[in-house]
Amino acid sequence: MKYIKGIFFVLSVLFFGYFIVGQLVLPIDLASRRGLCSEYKEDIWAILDDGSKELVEKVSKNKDINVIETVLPSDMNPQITHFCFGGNDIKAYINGKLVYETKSNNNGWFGKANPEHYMMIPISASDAGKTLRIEINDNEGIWYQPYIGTEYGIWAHVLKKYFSEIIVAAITLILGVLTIVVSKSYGYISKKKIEITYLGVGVAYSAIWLVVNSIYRQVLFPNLSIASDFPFLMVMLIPYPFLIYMNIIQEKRFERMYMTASCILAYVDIMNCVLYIIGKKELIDTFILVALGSMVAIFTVIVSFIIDLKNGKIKEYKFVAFGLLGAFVAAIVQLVTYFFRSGIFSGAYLAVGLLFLLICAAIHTVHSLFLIEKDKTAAIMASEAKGKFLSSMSHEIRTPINAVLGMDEMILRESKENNIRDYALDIQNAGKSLLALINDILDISKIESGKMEIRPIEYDMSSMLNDTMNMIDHKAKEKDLYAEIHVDTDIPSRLLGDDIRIRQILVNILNNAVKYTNEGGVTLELTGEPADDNNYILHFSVKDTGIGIKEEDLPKLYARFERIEENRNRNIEGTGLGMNITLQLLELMGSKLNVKSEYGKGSCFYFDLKQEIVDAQPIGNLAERISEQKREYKYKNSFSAKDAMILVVDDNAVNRKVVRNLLKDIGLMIDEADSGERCLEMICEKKYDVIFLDHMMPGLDGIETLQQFDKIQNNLNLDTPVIALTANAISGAKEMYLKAGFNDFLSKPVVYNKLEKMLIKYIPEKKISSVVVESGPDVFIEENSKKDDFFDNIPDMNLEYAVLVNGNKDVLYNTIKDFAMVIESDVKEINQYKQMLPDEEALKQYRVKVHGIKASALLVGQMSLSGMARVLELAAINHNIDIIEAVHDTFVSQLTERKNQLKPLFDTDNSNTQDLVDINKDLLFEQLEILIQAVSDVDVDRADEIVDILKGFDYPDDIRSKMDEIYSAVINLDENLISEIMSEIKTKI
Amino acid sequence: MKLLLVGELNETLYSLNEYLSKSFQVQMCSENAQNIKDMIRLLRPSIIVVNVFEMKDDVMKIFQMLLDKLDAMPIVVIGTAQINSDLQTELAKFKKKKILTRPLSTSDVMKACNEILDIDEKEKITEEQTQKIEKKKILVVDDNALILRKMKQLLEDEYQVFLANSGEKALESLEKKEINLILLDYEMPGMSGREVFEHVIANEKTKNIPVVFLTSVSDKNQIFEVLVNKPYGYILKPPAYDKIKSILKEALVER
Repeated sequence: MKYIKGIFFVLSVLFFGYFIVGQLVLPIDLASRRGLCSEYKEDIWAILDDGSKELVEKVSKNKDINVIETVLPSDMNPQITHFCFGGNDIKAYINGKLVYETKSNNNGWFGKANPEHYMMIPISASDAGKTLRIEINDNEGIWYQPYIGTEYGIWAHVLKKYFSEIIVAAITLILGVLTIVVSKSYGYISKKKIEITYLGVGVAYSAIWLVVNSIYRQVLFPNLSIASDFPFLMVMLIPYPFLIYMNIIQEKRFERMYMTASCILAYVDIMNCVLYIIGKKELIDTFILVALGSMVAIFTVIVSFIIDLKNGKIKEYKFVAFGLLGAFVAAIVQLVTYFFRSGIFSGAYLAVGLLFLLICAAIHTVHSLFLIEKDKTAAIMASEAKGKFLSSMSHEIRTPINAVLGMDEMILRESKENNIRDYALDIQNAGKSLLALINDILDISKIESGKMEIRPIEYDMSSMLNDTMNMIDHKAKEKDLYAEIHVDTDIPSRLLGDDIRIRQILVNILNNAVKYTNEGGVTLELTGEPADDNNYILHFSVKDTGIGIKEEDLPKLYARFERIEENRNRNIEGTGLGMNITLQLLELMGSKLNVKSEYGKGSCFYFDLKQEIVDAQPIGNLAERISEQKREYKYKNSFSAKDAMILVVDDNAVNRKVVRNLLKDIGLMIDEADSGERCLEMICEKKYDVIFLDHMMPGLDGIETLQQFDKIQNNLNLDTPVIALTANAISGAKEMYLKAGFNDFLSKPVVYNKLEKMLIKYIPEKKISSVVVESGPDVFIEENSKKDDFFDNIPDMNLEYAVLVNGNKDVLYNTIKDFAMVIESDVKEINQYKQMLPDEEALKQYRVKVHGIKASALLVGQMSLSGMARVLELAAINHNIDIIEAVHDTFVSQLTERKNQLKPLFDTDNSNTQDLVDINKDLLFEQLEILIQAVSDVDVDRADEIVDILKGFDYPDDIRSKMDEIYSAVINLDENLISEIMSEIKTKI
Repeated sequence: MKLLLVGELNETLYSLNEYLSKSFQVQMCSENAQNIKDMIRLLRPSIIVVNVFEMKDDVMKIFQMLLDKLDAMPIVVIGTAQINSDLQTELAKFKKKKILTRPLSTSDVMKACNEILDIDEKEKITEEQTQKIEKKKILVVDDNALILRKMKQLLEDEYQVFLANSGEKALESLEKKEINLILLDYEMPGMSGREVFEHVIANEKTKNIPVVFLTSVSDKNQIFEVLVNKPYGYILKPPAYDKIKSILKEALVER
């Protein structure tokens, strides 16, 4: 193949070389074969009306001249056969004899014009020196440079002269049509509108206009008069596609301007046509108006350019702008040549300009299509990445929010200034809604990635509805709205379904209803009917008296992030995700959300769910129970029974908690059991005053458990009243429970005043006092009067804070005790490090130690000590020895003072009531070894037990003080210190 | 219930101690008659377990001493067949006794203790045990002993709480025990909380254990240093008790 390529190359060079060299070097041998053609050089005279003569230009536009005369040259080439003349219809005479006449047909509407064209007046050598007279009929004022020669020669010359124009026009036309075809088919395939189609049309029309306006029309078209009308019509049409194109390219920013320009154009065009049709005006006469209209169009485009140039938008279509500029320049060049160089209108320059524009626009289109494609790929990738990102993000976002909320809680706890607390509360609210939002987003991403699952479990309808109403209740109250529930009494009490998701759906819809309701309230309604033996269809509906939704806004409900009537509802919180999640969840459950809404009056959202029946027992009058329960939150409890013991048996921790919360103010002692089996164990350990026993439990159910009461040994509660807890509220239930051996029954959800009645009825009278207990803040729930005095004796203590941090007073008591014990060794340690300052290592140890003291002091509510420790810690961090020097001593003396105040409080604990045992050296060291091991294992319990043993020895005074040091070291879990002290003791004994 | 565990202070005794501690408050004491005597006075145990390792002179003395004072004390003796027969006459005089012959398992000792104490609630003990096993294990790491003690007291009811007062000990515990969650202080002498955390993550065995920082360090940069490694939570000291509980519950449920 290599050789073939070489041969092809060599031959090509030879052949083309042959052609070019031959053309350049060899003599012209075609001149005669092309026929004759030369410019007519004799003078031409205009014959004016008064018979006088006037010399005229050979290219002229004088409309007033109707007759011209010229004397043919005396030395004419004998081969010359024609005199060529461009213009309108003429009659030609030689020496008064008519030799040539053209007359266009008047076809009425269809071309009554008298079009310009080239005419060949036959002459011969014998006419040399004779006078040629031409009478112009209907002179439109244009005639072209006259030629003489043979007919063939003249045509060859003229067509060659305008060849470039027709070629450029043809190319432009082809490209224009190609643009239309390509953009249309691409648009069809990709279902998109491609704006360059319009430009293609504009350019193609322009090209057609050029062709029809060129001298070739005389060669190409059979009816010349219509062909000569056509350019005027074309000029009317050409501006429209350009304007449409520009409007799209400029993203409709100037639509009004373009509309105005187009209207002017359309007005002019239609007027012109009408005038032409009724024969009042020729198209050529009104052409000036069309041109003006086009000028308006061009002017609007220029204005839009200037505006866009100012605001920088022109960058968005810089290629098109550049192309238009090119076309504009070309048009001006075209005009200049038309006016100054030749009388014949040629469109070559304009065609080049249009071609340039088309290419630029094509670049623009391809460029933006490419960008769209790129954006699309990027969008798909981003969407995938988003899913992954969201699901992995939960932890990352939640952790810092938790940190923020944690720190905020510190502010809430420590600050006493109201405005600071207000700010902190705002942060807390915002943080919590942020967390809720993140959960929403995660739900959405779960749904989108198909990871959201509906997990059906058995659930209790009444508790699900109760929870739902509880969640919505306070929100409604905040806005002073009512929140009601109506539930059919024969809904089954237990069903199989994903109650968590159903609740989420209901809460979302209810939340939404509350959000968009300003007065009145919301109502949750539940009705239903059995689908078959095993399934039940639930109809949920949520009605509100809110602002309602306009018919046209309904579809927006289903769009993510959209909020209906954005302006009116701008102060409503939320992302709009909630509704979307609801819709998707319902879809996952095979249902769908329906809306009926009356604008201004309220909306009703409703959906159906099919659920499997687990327990067909009717739910009973749930609504009444719930509302009763709500009312009772207001009641104050009327009695107290501090010594009464009750046992609550329920497998559901929430239910146990409800009872506990209801009773917390009464001051009962409440034990809980999570199963019947556990209950049976507990009744052997303690005597209770009342036992609440749930009926429905896995394992032993309530009735079975009660039957076991008599059978087990050691039952301390044989005569204790047992009350059934049940979700069954049907009539006859009570009889059933009494028959089963229960003393009474309480229906769930448990209502406070019924519970209270029950307690008053069954708790022994002597344990009930009718004192109304003031309910204090939660912190002080756990009363311990024994220790209250104790805390009062501690100076400078924030008790409220310390209890909060320690959970309860018992723990706090022990913590304070530990704190008192360790102060001494702590002081010793920091003194030691302080002496070694400014040694780096000592400073670090010092910092760590005061940091520890800071935390310990905070733990026992010693705020000022903690504050001083913090100052020292900061000083140590910043290597600020001066501050340490200044504060250290005060700090130590404060600590020591606190120790001296605290220690005696615990001395009663230390004084061992039992007989002291003579010291047994061997055993002492043995136990100390075990102690060190225990401390080293951080086995606090064992270490403390050994300390208790060691306290039983009767030590001599010097060793006793050492032992006290050991006890503090044990509290401090410092095994090294213990070993040190132990060796000291060894030397003493 | 207090139990005195007598024997040579070696591994066997320590492991026995560990096991019996599940049901009793156990104190160990070496096999020396005087020590035992003093320990009995100090501790007032309800039961004595004697691990007779070797027949020394002392052993005979011990039992004589015990018989002298406390022949009614419940006693469990663990010895070899040989030793048991040597001691036959002394042992026979104890009113409540169990004589076990090696080899045997620690649970046998427990069983013997329960039997001798007439603890009918054998079930109760096993139930307690199972409960203990079911309880999740939390390791609290803090150089502040006060905080360790407080956390233990707070969490003991619901969790099995292990303590470490240094980063090094924390890593040791993590090796030995199957910890479910770590509550970790930030600033400690020696290995810092952050370093411990990095070790935890780096170790294949422990990397999935949720780590909750419990610290008074509220310096932004330090917090972010830690957050980079995604701990389960970050609680500022001193934490509200309820808050810790809820975070722990949440963290343990999620796993």
